Amino acid sequence: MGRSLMHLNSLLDHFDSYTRLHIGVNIIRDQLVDLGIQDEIRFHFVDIDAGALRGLLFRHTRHSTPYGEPLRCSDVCIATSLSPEWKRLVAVKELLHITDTAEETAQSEAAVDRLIENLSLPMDIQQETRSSLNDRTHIIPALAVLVPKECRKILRSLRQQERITATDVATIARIPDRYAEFVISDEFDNLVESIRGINGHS
Amino acid sequence: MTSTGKDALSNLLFAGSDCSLVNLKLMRGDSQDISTQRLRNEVHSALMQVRTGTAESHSDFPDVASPLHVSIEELAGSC
Repeated sequence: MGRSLMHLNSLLDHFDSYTRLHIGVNIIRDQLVDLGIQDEIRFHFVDIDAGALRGLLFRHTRHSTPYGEPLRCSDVCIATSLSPEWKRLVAVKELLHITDTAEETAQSEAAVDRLIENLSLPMDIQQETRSSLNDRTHIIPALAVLVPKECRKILRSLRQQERITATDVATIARIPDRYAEFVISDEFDNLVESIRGINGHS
Repeated sequence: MTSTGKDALSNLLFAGSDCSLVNLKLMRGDSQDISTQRLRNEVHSALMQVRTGTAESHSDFPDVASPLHVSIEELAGSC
């Protein structure tokens, strides 16, 4: 299993046992650093059309001195017009892309062109590359970190007993309303497990 | 893009010598009808705001409330 694949599973494993919410974005950032990812990470709130683009990750290297070791940097850009819950989700989804494998990255000019072309196509006619598919599906592990397994289990039970509403789930976890019911469903847990499986989890 | 295959985004990402791209990832919005060029322009706009220092930037994510203050176990016991 490649190091990047281990990183995503390690991150999911780490948060699985959390029983307190909400999960702060900086806690996730710190966990990535603890896993050995030494990027200089910055968050930028930018004026863009959130209907087209909610945010992005720009991971790059730069030299701070002419002959020194290159510094690895990650700029996470988030549309200013989004709600606080969406800003958190975009930030986490983009942070998790720091763990992408070489096959999942868009690094060359051709790969970037293909990625943007694929993402601009309607869902029904896309021809996914590994990179564009990974871009669309990373919302699942992002939600799994923001609402960890143990929390999901308890919240699911409370929801089934109608002791809380889906809106309560969204408010407590500080995630967008639209994902509240989904994130505590059995289907969601199955999707997370399949992502762990793809990443080589035993 | 122009007939040379280059546009502002390509130049920003690949023509400069000060930094090298490792990975670019996007989170698409809900609009169904978006041209490739429009998406490229939005990506370019975001990166230009970072580069020119016109974006609001933070080394720590500015979360509005303290994290981890709701115990889900206690919630299950109380409601």
